[in-house]
Amino acid sequence: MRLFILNFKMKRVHFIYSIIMIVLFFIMISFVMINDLFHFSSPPQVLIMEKRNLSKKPIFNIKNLDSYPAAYTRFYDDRFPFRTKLIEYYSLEVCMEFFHRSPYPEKVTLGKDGWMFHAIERPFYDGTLPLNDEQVSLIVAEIHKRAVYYHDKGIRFYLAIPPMKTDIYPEYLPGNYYKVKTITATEKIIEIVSRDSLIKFIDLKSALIKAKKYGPLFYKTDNHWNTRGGYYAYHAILDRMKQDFSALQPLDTSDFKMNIQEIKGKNLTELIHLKDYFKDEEPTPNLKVERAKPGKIKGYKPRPDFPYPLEFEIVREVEDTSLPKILIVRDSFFYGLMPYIIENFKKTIIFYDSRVYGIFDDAVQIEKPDLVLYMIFEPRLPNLIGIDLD
Amino acid sequence: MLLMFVNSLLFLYLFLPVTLFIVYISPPQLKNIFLLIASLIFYAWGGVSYLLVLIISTILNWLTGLFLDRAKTYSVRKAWLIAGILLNVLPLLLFKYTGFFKDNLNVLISIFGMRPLIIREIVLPLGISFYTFKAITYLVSVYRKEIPVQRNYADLALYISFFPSVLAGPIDRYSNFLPQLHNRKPSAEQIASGIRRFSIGLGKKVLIANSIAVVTDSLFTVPVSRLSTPLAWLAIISYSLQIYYDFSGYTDMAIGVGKMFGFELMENFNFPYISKSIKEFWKRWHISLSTWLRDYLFLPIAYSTSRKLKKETYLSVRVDQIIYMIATSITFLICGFWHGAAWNFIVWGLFHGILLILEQIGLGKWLKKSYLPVRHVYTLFFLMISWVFFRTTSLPDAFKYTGILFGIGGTPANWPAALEYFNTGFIFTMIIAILGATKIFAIAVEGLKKRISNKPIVKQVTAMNLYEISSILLVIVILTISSFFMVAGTNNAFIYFKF
Repeated sequence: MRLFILNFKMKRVHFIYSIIMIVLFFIMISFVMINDLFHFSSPPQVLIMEKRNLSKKPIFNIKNLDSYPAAYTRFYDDRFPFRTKLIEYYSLEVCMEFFHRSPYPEKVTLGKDGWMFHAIERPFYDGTLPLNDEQVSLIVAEIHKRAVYYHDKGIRFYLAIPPMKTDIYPEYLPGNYYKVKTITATEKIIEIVSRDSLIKFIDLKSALIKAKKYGPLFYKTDNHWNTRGGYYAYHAILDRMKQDFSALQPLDTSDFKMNIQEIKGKNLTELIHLKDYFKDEEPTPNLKVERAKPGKIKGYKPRPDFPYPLEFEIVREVEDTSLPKILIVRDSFFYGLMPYIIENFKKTIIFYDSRVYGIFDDAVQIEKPDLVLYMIFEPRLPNLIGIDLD
Repeated sequence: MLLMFVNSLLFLYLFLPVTLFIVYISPPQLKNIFLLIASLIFYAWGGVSYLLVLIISTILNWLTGLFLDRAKTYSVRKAWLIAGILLNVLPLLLFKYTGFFKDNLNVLISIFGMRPLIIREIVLPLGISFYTFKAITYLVSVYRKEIPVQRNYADLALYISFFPSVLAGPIDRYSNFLPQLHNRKPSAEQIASGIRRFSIGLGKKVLIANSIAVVTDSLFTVPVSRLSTPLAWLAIISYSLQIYYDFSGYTDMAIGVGKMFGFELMENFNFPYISKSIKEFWKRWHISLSTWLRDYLFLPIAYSTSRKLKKETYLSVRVDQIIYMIATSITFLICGFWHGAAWNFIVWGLFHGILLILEQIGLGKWLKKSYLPVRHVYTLFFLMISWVFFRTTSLPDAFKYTGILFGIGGTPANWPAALEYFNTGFIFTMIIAILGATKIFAIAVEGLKKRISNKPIVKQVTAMNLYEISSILLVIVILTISSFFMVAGTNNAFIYFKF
């Protein structure tokens, strides 16, 4: 009898809890549909650094069925309630705090002492970049083509390749980061172009390695150099140009005061959605005498998909006719040395043309610069032949 | 290709509730039709074009079954069975093995200075290795008259394409599935047990396997020559746990979803890493495959070999041992090849086959007499070595990797680099994973139940209440945390989907 009562009671308890579990489970898995009706969460959005738009609902087309499931899945995932908050929480609490690893190792590598590295730079650093000899030759030929063009117009052509943070600060790389090949594809390119008589190659890597003793040259949370790193790169560039233009006199460290302020994490923290959780330091040079003034821009148009049209063309002028005129084709690394370099030229015409690094024939014809500087960040070299590794 | 994994948001929050709702409210005669439609939509999500391959396969198997059943003589029945098996095996060979045969043929013909064959790369339809075996099971069962032929196409199509198991098993037997097709009435307890099982599987995959995979994948991207012995061991230990939690997690989800619809699918895992021999391992690992191989390959081979061998011994070896050797070698060669069209999978299969033969001819006896920890260490050691061949992408790499495990080749040990992997989260996950791979949690629950069974009824009911409440809480916590990981995580593919 005791056993019978026990069994009966147990079965009833089990049944009741089974019903409770089923109801709760159904509520949980219907949560997204319920949210669609009552809108508990804020409207769907993508994080800024995802660098894309919210996926649109695909149109069902019987003739193109194969692409529908993937498109619909993306659309559905993008609209998951509280998606952005969940991603931020996952990145910080789960990955950083609990696992001490990068939430997106394919984007950002966590190094030692809070230093971060851009993961796409790894194959350039370790030599595993799948660039074959033919592609290396094509990249070299593209640079040479630009050199010939400017040489034919009597313009001196300088090439500076900002090095990667990994090359300047390998001591902060995690232990599982290492060189696979002794010579990388970009080192091969640099080796060839530095022998080209039409190209005045400026070795920024050596200059920066020498300057490490003066303080951090790169941000901890960004793959770019800071204005301190920019200054030493600038100095190396000006030292080289001075050999051809004696009027050029690089600024000395006594010409400015470097102010340091604490800032939020920079671009690499944005890539892992944790900008607000990290701090960095921003050195800002305060020049004792600022001679450069904004000049009139001609209004050259960037390509339609260029993401920063307002920064495409910048002109600065200094009232000193003894100075030469320069045209600069650059990418984002230029910001670090811009405060200094614009002080050294009568007119500085700057084109932000990362990914293409075009020739700017019209501007050259009109402005007739004395020298041209191309600043191509090392991982952007394959862009010269249309290979974008982003 | 973007699959609708059973651990995707789309599956959990749209496909599953909608399908459950439709199937539950539909009249009994339509339930299977709706389940079939849901299964086809689920499959189509991984490649609409390959849905055609699946549908054609189901139609051909259905027709073959009908012809086979109608055949009057033994020889005609056998001919239909062979035709049916070929109809299943040929597409598998075409889709899965063309590239392998082409590559090896090209190596061979290059020796004679001939031009290499150029064949366009063929994409492997999802789950083809699994549903092909299910279809063969059906045909063989009809041939052996173990079950009546299925005249209803939709029922057979549902068996082959049932969405929880179509992509990676369990390779359920038709004789198990058939009785449940029309006579299932899912009880509240069965559904709740399905929910529990599904949630545990989800947790195994998303919280454990995926977390370990971050370390495993990062270590396996290191070129083999750059590995050190400690890192190689760390990688293979992690991978051994990852593959178990990945695959058994998927199986739990499949079985759980099956239960929610009133189906009891075949079990696939039974704590394989507590095995004391490789033979025992194959009784606990991927059970639906190992029993399939036993019933449809090993036993027929052993039977036909035994009919050909007349003597009692050959070269002083007993005939039963020769039969075992032949049948085991062929079965595990095919087992390896089934897992992947590459030499490392073949070696993986043969490695297991050799160990099984050694255990059969004497090692097994020695093991039985050995100290228990020695038997566990032996099994785990050789399993891990075999996983090297399973995980690496080429045979030379697998051999190099094995050498590094024993300190041959590779780079000198870099302990600081190795220790970087041991963060709180990884250590915690590994401890849970190792304990979970043993029966420790199950034994603890059983022990608790036993202790409570001697207490008064009131206390027993209170304990039952506590158990049920914690069970519900566990489900809620796992579902919530897993969903949270799924929203942000990127590493979602199941290892066994590529087979």
